[in-house]
This record gives sequence, structure tokens and C-alpha cells, in this order.
Amino acid sequence: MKLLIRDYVASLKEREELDAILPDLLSELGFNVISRPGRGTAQRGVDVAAVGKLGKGKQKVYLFTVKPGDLTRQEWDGNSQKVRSSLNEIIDEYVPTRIPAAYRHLKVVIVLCIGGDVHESARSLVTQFTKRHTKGKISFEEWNGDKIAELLLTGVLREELLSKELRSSFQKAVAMVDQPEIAYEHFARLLSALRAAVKSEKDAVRVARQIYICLWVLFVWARDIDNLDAPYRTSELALLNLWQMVKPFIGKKSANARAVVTVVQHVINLHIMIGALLGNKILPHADRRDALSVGVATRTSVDINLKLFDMLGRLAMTGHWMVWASTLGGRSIDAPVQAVLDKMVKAGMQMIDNNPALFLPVQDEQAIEVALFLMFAVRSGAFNRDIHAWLGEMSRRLDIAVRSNGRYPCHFADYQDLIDHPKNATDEYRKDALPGSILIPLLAAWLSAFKDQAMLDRLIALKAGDLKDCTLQLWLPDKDSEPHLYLNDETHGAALTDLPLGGDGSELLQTIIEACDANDGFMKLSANLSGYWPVVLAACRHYRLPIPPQFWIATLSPPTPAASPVVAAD
Amino acid sequence: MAAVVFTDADIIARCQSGELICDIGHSQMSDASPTSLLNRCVALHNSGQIDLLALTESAQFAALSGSMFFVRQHFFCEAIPQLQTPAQPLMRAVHALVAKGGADLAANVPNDAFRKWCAADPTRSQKIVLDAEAGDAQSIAFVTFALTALGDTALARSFVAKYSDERRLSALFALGRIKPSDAKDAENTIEVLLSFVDEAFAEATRCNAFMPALQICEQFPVLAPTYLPKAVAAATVAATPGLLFNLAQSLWLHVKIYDRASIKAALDALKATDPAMGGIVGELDMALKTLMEATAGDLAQDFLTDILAADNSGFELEQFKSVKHDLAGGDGDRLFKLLVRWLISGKSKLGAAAPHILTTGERAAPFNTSTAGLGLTGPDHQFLAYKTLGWLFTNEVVAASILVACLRGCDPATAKDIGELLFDPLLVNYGGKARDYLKTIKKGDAAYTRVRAALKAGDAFVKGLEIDPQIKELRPSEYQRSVERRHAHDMMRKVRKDAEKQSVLFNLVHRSTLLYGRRSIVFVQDPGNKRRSVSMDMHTISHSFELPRHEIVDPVGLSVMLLTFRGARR
Repeated sequence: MKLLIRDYVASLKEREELDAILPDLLSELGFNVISRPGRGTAQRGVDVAAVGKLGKGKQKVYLFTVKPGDLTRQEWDGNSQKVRSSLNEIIDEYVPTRIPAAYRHLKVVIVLCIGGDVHESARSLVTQFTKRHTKGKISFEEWNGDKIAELLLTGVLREELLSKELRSSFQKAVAMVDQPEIAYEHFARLLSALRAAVKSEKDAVRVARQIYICLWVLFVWARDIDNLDAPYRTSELALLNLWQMVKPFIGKKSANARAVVTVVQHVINLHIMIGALLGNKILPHADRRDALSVGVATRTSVDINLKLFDMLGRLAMTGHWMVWASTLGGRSIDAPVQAVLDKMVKAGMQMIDNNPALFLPVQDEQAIEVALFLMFAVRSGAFNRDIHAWLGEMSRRLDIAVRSNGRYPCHFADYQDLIDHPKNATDEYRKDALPGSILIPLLAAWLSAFKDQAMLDRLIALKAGDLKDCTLQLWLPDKDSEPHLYLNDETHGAALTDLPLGGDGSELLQTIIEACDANDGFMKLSANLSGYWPVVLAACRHYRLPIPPQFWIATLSPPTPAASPVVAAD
Repeated sequence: MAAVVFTDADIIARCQSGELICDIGHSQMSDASPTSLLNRCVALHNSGQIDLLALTESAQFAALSGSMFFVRQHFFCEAIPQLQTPAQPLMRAVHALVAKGGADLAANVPNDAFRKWCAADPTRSQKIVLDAEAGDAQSIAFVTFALTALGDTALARSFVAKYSDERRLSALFALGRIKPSDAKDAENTIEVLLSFVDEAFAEATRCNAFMPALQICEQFPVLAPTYLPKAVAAATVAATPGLLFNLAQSLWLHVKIYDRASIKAALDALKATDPAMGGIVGELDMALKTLMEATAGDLAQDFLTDILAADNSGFELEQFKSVKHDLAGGDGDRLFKLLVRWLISGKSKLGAAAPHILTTGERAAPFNTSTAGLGLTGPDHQFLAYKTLGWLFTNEVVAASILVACLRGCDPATAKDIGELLFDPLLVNYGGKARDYLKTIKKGDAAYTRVRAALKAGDAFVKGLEIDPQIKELRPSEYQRSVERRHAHDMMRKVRKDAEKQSVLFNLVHRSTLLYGRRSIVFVQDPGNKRRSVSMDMHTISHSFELPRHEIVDPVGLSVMLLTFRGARR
């Protein structure tokens, strides 16, 4: 376990990565963190400041300067960004002027916090420096990777808090990180057990930190082997579990509430970071025809379809989280962020154009990914023509695939069923394969908004003919959704069924609007109430629930007859 | 069973018990040997010590089946002409032998033996003729052989005139077998026969008159120009299935005496054939094959094209195995022109038949030709290219060669479009043999420039597919890979079993399954109870084909594309 953690600490590449876990580590050790790392603010050499004691010692002020990786001679000195400069700033400026008055009487320990080790080349320089400046109330400590790992294991991850069984799940998750499904299973077991151990608010804070640190460890190991699949899934699951835990704290202003919310925020940041890193791996290949499809390296088309829609959904989710993060506190999205978002949508569109598997899902439930990307893409306003073309082609392929008994979307979830699909060309089989659909009403609603009557007519004819027994439906969160949405521990919500498909689609849109208006489950979801709406999207994506139409219906239809819809026909 | 030498007493006893049937075929002595079982049985029968013919009424005879029966049938056919016996028991025995032969082509061989028996002594035939005239049912059934053996055309003609029952049919049939004494006699016979081909007569009468008329024309070719058209013209009026069978048969049996107009008339009549009547279709297959080899190949191709193209004809190319084999393995130029004709017709049934005419099992070879001289316009060439891709896409090398042929024969503007089709969809989907074939197009070839451009684009496309390092997140899970492997294994096992079911060899040979080793050793029994080992080395038989890349990357898009090409209109 120690080796696992030691390697994890040593693998933290960026300054903010090591910064990120340090406050939680200190908090769990009983320290009072008085200054957290902040970007772009003058810290006078201090990355984290805390008050506390280690072991049986006296209470002291600990000032941390953080250096990820190993400390070499080059990293020690040379310019204002180097470690020596930071230490000088602490001694010359921070200690005399920045320590809060309440703690000025305490001794000061300046901690050189290094992810790895001090290189031999820098050892004598460090030793001489600390000897020279150890005087009065100032002393120095060196926390290397080994020490931090030790502190983690005696602190937040100590055996009383993380039993052997849980450590085993955690270790297995990390060990199997290159087999994401297995890693996910073990991590999910860990999360479930940790959450079950929460009996008090204090427990919730501790467990939240444990989850966060475990997630970081998993992520770092996954990053080292260049496979971010497991951390993506587990970070989403961790976030949903944390949301379930954070709900009781909503509206409270206690220290525990602040601590838990802070951890949730950190997990969201980590999740966004993982999503963005994944995007960085995928999107550079989106502009080359079939490159990503061939990259799946499989002998079956089902794998390509599943993977690419999954990636499209993740891309969209990352986009939604970025939009949310950029608009926190009622801000509007600034131009550079908007440019990044537009670039992401453009890359998504290229991905669709160059990987035609994305023109028709193999599973009806992949309408979730379709909806996520539609919502993300349409908010830009610059890609309506592409969106329309995508939906048109999807409808055309759906029509042909159903009529020719080809690989039309089915409701099967079992992989064996999917690769066997279609098993035969009988009506009986088709009724079994597609007894209901969330994809068709989604397509119809958007095509109706685009006023694409020709494509709409094809869907209408398809529904009236070969798919006459298929129940068109959407899903709405209900009053019973809030307790179960984030953990998926019970069936919940309501299916809006027998949606009318005909004419120009206005009746369909109107029905959806009325159903949304009459539904109070959606707005009463804690994530929506508190402004964390992407959590609902994440839950839907993660647990394969249709995206509630409340997320997109306003985009398609004006709130009043006089207004114009956001989506305009090309 | 080891050969046993019987004494006469043994043979007499075993004949009485019926066991002699079982002994036939086990003698290793030549039938020519006086001591062979055959000759000893004939001698014993002719000396009245056994009733060889009575064996055909024994229970042991009734129990014979398959090859066991035909070995005994051969024995009787050798014996019958040598037997001294009244006609009645012999006719009973011949009847039994023919009846047991069922629908096998060899079933009628005993009739020929009977005819030889008749010919050996004219009094035998005369007695049968007299008995037939007296109304003896068995004699009536065999009178045709008696008439044939007598070789008396006047007697046969008198039977035709005198009777209207089975005796007329027998006499008509016999007339075809009796060689007329001279042209005048032949003409007289033909005149008689032709009058009965008229639609006024029943099918059996018409059939029994038509074929003999042609047989005599064959014997006296000078009469063919006069009488064959008349016979064909009469037969094609209200042609019943029996007549269609005879018309088809006559086209391959008597093709030498057929004039072009009569061939066309016969083929026109044969278009009314019910495709479910396998017997007629089989004869038609032979007829078309024969015509292809003769000077009327164009008429045969017209006929084949017409019956396959008709929407409701019900004919499939697979019903014409001989023609298919000849076309595929014969003159490449003829095949190319027929293929172009079928593809450019725009008829979906001909398009669907196109891949099946290319090969008799192994991979079809590319054409090395040009469309120049076929009188195709630019739009024709483009249409041909679409149809080629639509229907011959999985025969990628042939498809490429047809496109190359188009490039050699079309105008530059059309060549640009066709060259692009060489790249996409052909080279986009196939990087193996199609590419290898295209690389064989040398400088100086009219297609060279476009082919090079397509190859260059293809290579750039393939290079663009490379993602290095691979994106691990896109990989299917181990579970999915395992399910897919199982699925592929099951599918291949099913394919192998289906292939075994269809194999003609598997029903003929003894099958052993080797679980270990690379060589089999088996001991066989040689004469004299000697055992000899036979060793057989195992060899590998393999077959491979290239799946279109989009079958995995975008199967729905691929089928939509093929449907689009197939459904393309001018």
C-alpha cells in the first residue's frame, strides 16, 4: 500500500496536483489550514499554510512550499520561480508580515514539500541553506514523497478508516486500471463501502477526502499507463456518490459543510481535468477519416459504435462541465473559454463526419449521448447546419436500417445480443429488439425544430409502418427521483409515452412542453436547485437514463408564441 | 467380405433361398471368365436348374438399396441377353429391375438388355408384338423394344395408325429408334410422326412423336431443314411441360440440325417454363450450355438474360450450374460483355446475379479489357461504375478491373469521376488484392493516370488511419473481446458444418476425425487376408477473403451506399 501511495505522490506532475491533496492531507492530520493554494495570487513563497502539531510536539505554524517531482540543482536556484527564491520570500516576507496575528507567537516550520526526493546534486545546497536560516523560531522540515505517503497512510487512509477489505478493493482498482471495467467494479465497491461508513457530518468530510485522494491515486496510476478510461468512469461515479453525501449539507454554512463542498468542487475539477485530457487524446484524430474508428482495433462494428458514441458523450459532458464552471456565480462565458468550447464542438462535428458509425447508434439508449452532444453543440449557435445534417443522416439511416432489417438501434444491453443483432428479419424479432424508443422522439423533436418536414415524414412513415408497435417515449425525473438519481439504487422517474408523431411535429413539441411544465420532479432535484445541473446530466449518462427533455426542449421551442426558437431552420 | 467359390449345388440352393442376390458382386472373377458367377448362373438358368429371374421377386432383392442394388442390376443386365426364357417372366423381371432403379439415370438400363434379348431372336419380338396386338398388358408395355428390335418401320407405322392407346405411343417411340432404310422411308416416318406433334393430341403422344422425328432428322440431316422447323413449330404451340422438356432436351441432343430460327422459336417457347420444374430446368441448363458452345451463344445469352431479368420469372442463376460454370470458366471477353450488359440493364435481378456468374468457386480473376467498342456514353460508363460497385463490391478485384476497363474506354471527364470511385469506396475499403491489382496497371495504359491518383489517395488515407501511440481508451474491454471471439468461433463452426452438409464428397467418403498428430495410419485388407498399412499426411486447406473495411467501421453506411449504387437510375 505504501509503495502504491509513494509512487502516486512521486507521479504528481504538476504543482497544483501536489498542492491539491496537501490541504486535505493536513486537515485529516488535525491541522488547521489557514491558507490554501490559489493561482495567480501572491503567496510570498507559501503554497499552503497550516497550524497544528505532528505527533506529541507543540503547535506550530507550518508553511509549505511545494515542488512536484524530484528536487535537482537546477530546480533549487536560478530565478524567482526556483525553490530557493520561494524559501527566501517566506523568510523575508511571509513570516514577518503574513502570519495571522493569532499565530505569531508560535514557532514556524518551513516545509520543503517534494513529490519525489532531493537529488544528491542539490543536497548540500539545501542543507547549507536550512542550517544557515534555522534560528529563533524558524526551523525547516523536508517532506519528500516517502514522508507524504507515510502521512497519508497514517492520516486519511489509516487502517481504522480504510479497512483491509477496502484497501484491497482500492489496490485492486489501481492494479487493474488498464482493464477499466474491472477497476471500476473495485472502485465502486470501495465507494459504496466508504459511503456506508458515514454516520456523522465529520465522517462525511473524512470520507469525501478519502474518496478524493483514492481517486487521485487511481488517476495518477492510470495516467502513467496512458489509459484514462477507468479514472473517467470512477471520477464520475465518485462525483455522484459525493453528491449524495453532500446533499444534507446544502444550505448549511458550517465548517463541515464548507469542507465537503470544497471536496466536491475538487472532484469536479479533477473530473473535468480527466475529461479534458481524454479529449486531448481523442480530438486530434477527429479530422482524419475513419482514424478513430480504426483506432478501436476490433473485428466487430458494435465495438466501434459503442466506443465512439461513448466518447462523443464524454466530450459533450466535459463541455457541459466547462460551461457550468465558466458561468458559476452568474458570470457569462468569456471569449477565450467560448473559443475553446467552439473548438470542442467543431472537433465533435469532425468526429461525426469522419467516423460514420456516429450517424446511427446501435443501441436506442445511445440517444443519451446524442442528446448530450446536441445540447452542447446547439448552445454555440454556430453549428446548426452541421447538427441538422447529422440528425437528417441519422434519420435516413434509421429508416433504411429498419426497413432493410439492418443494424437498426435496438434496446438490448447485453453485449452478446448486440453483436448478434439483427438475429433475423422477422417482425417478431424487430418488436423484441425495439419495443420502445427514446431516440425517435428525440430526433423527431429536433427535426421538427429544424422544420425538416421531409425527414420528419420519413420518421412518421416508419413509425406508422414497421415500427407501429414501438412505444415512443421520453423520461422525466419524478418526485421519487431525488433519493435515487445519484446512486441509481432504485427505479425512479416517469416515462412520457405514446408521444404523438405526425404532421410538422408541433404536437410532439407541445406535448413535451406540457409534460415538462406539469413535472416538478426535475426542478426539485437537489443538483438543479443548487445550480449543479451537470450532475444530473452525469447521472443520466452514467446510469443510462434518458436526458430529461427539460434540458433541451426550451432550445427547440419558444416559451411564448411570439418568441423565436433558438434552433432556427437552415 | 472375402471371395467365396461356390459349387453348382451351392448356387442352386442359394438361388432357391434368395441368398444368391447377396453373393452377386463379391466374385473377383471377370464376367468374361466361363467360371464367373455370372456365366455359371446363366448356364444353370438355361439348363433349367435355377430360375435366375425369380430372384427379382425375393425378399432379399426387395431389401436392396443404393449402390447395392445397382451392382445387382448390372449383373442382370449382363445376364438377360444370354438367357433362354419365355418373355413373360423376363418382362416381369425387367419391370422389377426398372421400377427399383427409381429416378436414377441408370434405372432404364434393363430395358436395353431386354431389347438385346429381343434382338437375339426375332421370333421373341414377333411373339411380343402378337401378344400386344392381342391385348396382353405386359406385352403392350414392352412392345416398343420388340418393335425396335425388329427394325420394321412399316410395322411400327401400322401400329401408329391402328391404335390410339399405349401401343401407339410405343410405336411412335420405336420409330425414332429404327433407322429408316433410306431417305424416302425416313420422310414417310417423319410425316407420320409430325402429324402427331400437333396440339390436337395429348401431351404424351406429342412428346413421343416429336423426339423421334428429330432423331430421324439427325440420321438424315438433309431432311432437317424441311422438317425440324415444322416439328419445332408444332411443338411450341400450346407447349405442355412434357413438350418443353423435350424441346429443351432436343436443343442439346440435336443442336447440330437446329437452324437459328428454330432455336429462337424453341427458346421463346421455353420462357414459359415453370422454374419449379427441376427436370425441365436441368435440360434447359444443358441446352444453354450446348448453345453457348455452338454458334447460337448470343441466343442463349439473350434467353438467360431475359428469364433472369423478368421480375416474376422465379428463375435463379444457380439453377443453371452448367451454363454458369462455362461462362465463368470460358471466354473472358464473352463474360465481360455479358456482365456489362447485365449491370447496365439496371435490372436488380440481373445485378444480383452478376456476382454469381463470375466464378465457379475460387476467387474470380480480374478482367483485362476495355469498354471501348461497346458503344457506351459517358453517363453509361458512370452508370456501369455505380452498378459495378453496387453489385460486385465484395468481388473487389473484379470490380476494380471493370472500373479500369471503363477508364480505358470513357471520356476524360467521366474518367475523373470513375477514378474517384476507385479511391472511394474501393481503396477506402480494400487495401489488399484490389490495391495489388491496381498497382499492376502500367504506364502507358489509358487508365494509368487515374489509377495512380486513386492509389496515392488510398495510401494517404491508410496512413491517416494510423494513431501512434494507440488510444487505449478506445479499446473494447477484455469481456467484449472474449464474447466476440466466442461469437466468431461459433459462427465459423456453423459455417463449416453447413459447408459439410452441402459437400457432395462427404456423403461418399468414410470420415475420420484426427484428434492428434499430423499423419493418419490405417490398415486395409488386401486379397489373401493380407493387411497393409496406408499412411496419409495431413495438409492445410485454407481460404481467405478481405472484408470491406466499412463492414466493421460503418456497416450501416456501407449497406446504404451499396443500396444507393444498386438503386441508381440514369
